[in-house]
Amino acid sequence: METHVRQATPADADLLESAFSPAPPRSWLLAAPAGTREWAAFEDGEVRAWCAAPSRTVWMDGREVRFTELTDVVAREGGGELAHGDAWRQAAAATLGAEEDLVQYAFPTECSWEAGERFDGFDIVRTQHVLVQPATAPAERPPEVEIVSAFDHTFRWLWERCAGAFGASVIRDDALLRWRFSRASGRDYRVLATRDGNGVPRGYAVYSPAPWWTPGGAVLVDWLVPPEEVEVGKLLLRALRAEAQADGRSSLATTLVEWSPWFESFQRSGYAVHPSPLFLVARSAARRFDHLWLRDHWWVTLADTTLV
Amino acid sequence: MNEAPDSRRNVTLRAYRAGDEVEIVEAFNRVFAAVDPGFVPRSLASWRWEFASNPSGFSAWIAEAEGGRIVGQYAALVQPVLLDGEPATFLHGVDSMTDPAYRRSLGKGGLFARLGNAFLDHHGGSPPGRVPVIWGPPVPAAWRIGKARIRYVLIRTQLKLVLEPGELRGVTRSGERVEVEAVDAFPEETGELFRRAARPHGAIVVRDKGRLDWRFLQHPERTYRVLVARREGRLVGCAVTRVGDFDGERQETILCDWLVPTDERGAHQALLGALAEDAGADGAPRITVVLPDTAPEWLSLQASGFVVRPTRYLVAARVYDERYRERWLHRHFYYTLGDTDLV
Repeated sequence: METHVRQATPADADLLESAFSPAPPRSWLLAAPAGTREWAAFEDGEVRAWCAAPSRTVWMDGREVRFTELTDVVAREGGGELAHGDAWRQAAAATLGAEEDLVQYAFPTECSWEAGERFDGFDIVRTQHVLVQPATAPAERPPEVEIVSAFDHTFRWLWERCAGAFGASVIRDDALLRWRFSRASGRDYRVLATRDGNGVPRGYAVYSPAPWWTPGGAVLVDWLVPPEEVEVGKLLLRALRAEAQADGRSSLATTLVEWSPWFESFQRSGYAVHPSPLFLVARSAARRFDHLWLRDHWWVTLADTTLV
Repeated sequence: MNEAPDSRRNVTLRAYRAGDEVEIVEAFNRVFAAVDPGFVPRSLASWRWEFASNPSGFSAWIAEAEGGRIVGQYAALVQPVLLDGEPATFLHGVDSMTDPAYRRSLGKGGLFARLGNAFLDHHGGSPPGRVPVIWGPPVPAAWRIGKARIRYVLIRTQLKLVLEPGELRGVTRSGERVEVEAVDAFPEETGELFRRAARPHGAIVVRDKGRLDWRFLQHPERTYRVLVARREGRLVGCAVTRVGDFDGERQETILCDWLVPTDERGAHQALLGALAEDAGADGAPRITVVLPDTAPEWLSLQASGFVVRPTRYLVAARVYDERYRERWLHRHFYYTLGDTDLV
């Protein structure tokens, strides 16, 4: 049977959304401010595989570049089983190959990584750890911490304060944050922030009660606090615990790059570093910015993925 | 870099022969002094200890230029392991090098790749006579060429656990009837302790008296401290430390080996207490240990006050048995710095 792989079009919407259960969050993924590529594999007029790759605008080495994430690729082979066969590989390869990005990346499952070894040039950036803290100790949200109802341009100023310490990071401006946290239907995010006297954010943390790492746990999806703002960090960590407790969650989990000062600060405030089956893989179009460079310089959080 | 003259391309690959070590050490010192400003030259005594005196043996392949000059080496130490509870053998890659003037010899992939592939394909495979896994912590340059040309795979981006002695929580040097003492030789019962400690691990390098005495007590230049823990006379734990430099940090207490059964919580605590006491007496600012994050100690050491920090190291392997692919090794292979030549 011949597999036909092509870019998806609006006319495919019904077909794509009914082909998989649960349906992938297409409309949200396609609204990414830096654009999303979407390809599908068809056999006999039926969808066999689907792949979306949202891009992010990244500040790296003094310029804006594009990173693109290969999200979960869904596929079904004969009999409707989810599988990692040829249709899956072809859809993923077409999606990645359609345009040139400086970096393409993913958090693959072990199964998809082994099935996708034919994607030339992907390397493991990091075998991923997860920071986990029990949420059992009583906590109240400090009055200095608010729940943000809308993002504005001042959030980019906060990112700019932090970005000097990053070799590469997704530009966290209001457009990106709105898409990532306000427009994702079916996902519950709470943005906790403190502000200075002029209303400019001094730091934020994005909390979700979604069970990601443990069944009864909550997750910290994004963290952006200048390292010198030690007190802001402490306030936000307390606020996170309070949210988790209020939601009846047993723990809080997150990922942070280990070269960040916050990696150790989190541990000193009670988080333990757990092993995980996750690993971040990437391929770079620039030899200078290979997977080892990315490991040591790329500020990446769960917000830069579609995992949670 | 100037291209090597044609005569330099005439390089022969062959197995080590007795007597090569003088040239190997010269080449090693020449190659690494050129790239590492802090490099301390290797002595012939050190080479003889590491390779010739290794009770488990070694293998080395040599690249020899015209005139007999050694311009490259790919070498590994033999490591007996328990693999899924059965005796097996791994190789641990060490001291691989190529003279920069000859790196582009032998065509595609260069000398390092040709040498590495010749070595690995000679040794890798199914027993008997071949090994399922060849592993090590390659430097970045070796890792880059290794993954591209020699099919290295990544087991882990390695982190370390670090403790400032004053931050140790909830332990003392003796407790739960466990006493700790420093010794000059590994006890005869070390093998029995190893069998108990090895149970949770799918793969672990064998620790017996012969190998540990060689590794830590017969080194011609390095001094290690061996601590043993006993409960009512029975050996229940063992730790090996050294004060030295590691991963860019100077004069810290390096916990080189740790052999404590997971159910011996008292030994765990007592050995940590002794380590912290000794580190304080040595004036060492911190204790550093490298373990797989999947080891049971990874979380218990954090509970005792250790914090996790990054290292520059990767742990990589070339795998010849589908059952022990990199993700399996990530979950099940236990190692310490004492299994490497980093300390």
